[in-house]
Amino acid sequence: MSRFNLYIDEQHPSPWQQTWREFKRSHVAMAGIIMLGFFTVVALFGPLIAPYDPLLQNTDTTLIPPSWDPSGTVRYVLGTDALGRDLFSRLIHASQVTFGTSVMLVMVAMLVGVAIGVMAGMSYGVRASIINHLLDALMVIPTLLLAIIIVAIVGTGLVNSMWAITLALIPHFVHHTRNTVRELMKKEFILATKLDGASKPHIFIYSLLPNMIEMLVVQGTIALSIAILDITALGFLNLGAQGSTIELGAMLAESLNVVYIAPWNIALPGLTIFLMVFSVNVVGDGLRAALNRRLRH
Amino acid sequence: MTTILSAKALTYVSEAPRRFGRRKHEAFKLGPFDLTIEKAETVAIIGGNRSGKSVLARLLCGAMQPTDGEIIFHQDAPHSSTAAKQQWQKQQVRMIFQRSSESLNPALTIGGILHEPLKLNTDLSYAQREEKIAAVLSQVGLLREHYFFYPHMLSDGQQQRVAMARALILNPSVIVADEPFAALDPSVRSQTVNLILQLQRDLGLSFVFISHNLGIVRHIADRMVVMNEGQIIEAGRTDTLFRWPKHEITQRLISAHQSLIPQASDGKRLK
Repeated sequence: MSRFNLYIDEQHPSPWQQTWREFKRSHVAMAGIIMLGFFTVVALFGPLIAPYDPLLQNTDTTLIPPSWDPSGTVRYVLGTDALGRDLFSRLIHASQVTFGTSVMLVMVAMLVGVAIGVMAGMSYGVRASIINHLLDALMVIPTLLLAIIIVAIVGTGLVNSMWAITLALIPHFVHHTRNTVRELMKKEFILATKLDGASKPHIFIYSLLPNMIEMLVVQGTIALSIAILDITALGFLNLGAQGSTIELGAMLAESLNVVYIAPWNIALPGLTIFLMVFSVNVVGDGLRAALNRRLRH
Repeated sequence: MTTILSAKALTYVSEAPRRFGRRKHEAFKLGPFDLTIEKAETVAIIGGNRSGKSVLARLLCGAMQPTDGEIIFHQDAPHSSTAAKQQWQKQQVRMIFQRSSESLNPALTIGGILHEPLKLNTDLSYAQREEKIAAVLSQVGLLREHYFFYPHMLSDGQQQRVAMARALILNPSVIVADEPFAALDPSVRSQTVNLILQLQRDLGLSFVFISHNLGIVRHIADRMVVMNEGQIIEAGRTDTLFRWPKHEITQRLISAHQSLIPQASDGKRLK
């Protein structure tokens, strides 16, 4: 690659480049995406960063406060819990589980939801309205309540709670996909493509999907924050992650009995959950604003 | 003159949506009527709102199916099967929509939009398609660079040209346009009109268009069709209709147009 650009070619930014340009103008959104990137790195490479085995118990070092406290030690940066386990390592593993499972289940919910939503949006008549109104009725129930009901039926456990939240999130994606598809199908460019002899899969890939991605990104971030809160809530209620699986909500529940002598055991996982949800929401909000502004130019 | 497209006893009845067993509003009925379009002629369709102009345009290009009667395309199809024939007719009769901003896919570049009809209807390779697109872009007075543009980056007039390029790219013989000039300002409108006239001379296209602007109709149309409430009430050569309108509604339309023109230039001719 040459270092110099001899010919000044005009750049033709794609919609994504334009969105990114608009997104960068908001500093709060940039801070959010950096935090989100940090959580992604932790989710991918967490075990490599963690200094200790998160399950290693040490009776000599129970309830050591974080290192900035006068009685803290730098060997345990964020202190230890009631069983002498390093809180920093536990937090890293816990955010890996919470964030990773949330992203995974949102992806599954999105795939299934979009597939059903597109089918409902592109077809007419009884089949479409059954899919739509049946699933819209489900949206009345909060996802957490729905997830608790499903967990109560299939039993507790991290995987079961993941399935439960996935199932609870699917109606949201179906609803929004169907609305978007319905709106797009009325547009004249779809009719023009149909007149060219396009098949339904062709219309979906070239006409619907490129116009739907923005909605999917925005809905995806909303669903991600819901998923994180629900996973931790189920973990806190002892319905989600069990036993040796470390999860932020379960960590909170475990530390409840030492809350008065070792408040950092509650504060730090809580702060992590807050930052996670906050960064996801800020990024979602920034994206929505950027997409709006891009369309106005 | 050879007839290229003709409609026989064309009828279209829209299904009125039923709500709680009662019809919300009356069903719209178009026709039955006959209509022929000659090769390389310009036909203007005028009429008030809800007179069935747009429905007629959509029926002609195959976007809607007639309830009764048929539309015959008088040119031998290179294929024999019915489905292939229908698709070939759709290639030969192309439509330009009213709002070009809505008829272009906002998520694709102009190049992507123009690739689509070629990909679906021809066996050209990617390089051949690129060549064809570059040719058609310059034909409608756009630059090669517009290949990389997204529709929202273009002005209304340029979008209209892209819509025209999309219609022209399959070498059609008839172009049906639904109010192609409605959204354009006067200077761009006259540019577009001239472009259409020039393309018609170069390619021998038949051009059917809907317009409320009788000035343009008088300027470019060979024949004129006046519609009202789903019926053709008058049809004939443009200058004849402008001078001796027979039907009351045509008289009203024409006199409304004439009253806008200074009497010194046009008043005498009216008499």
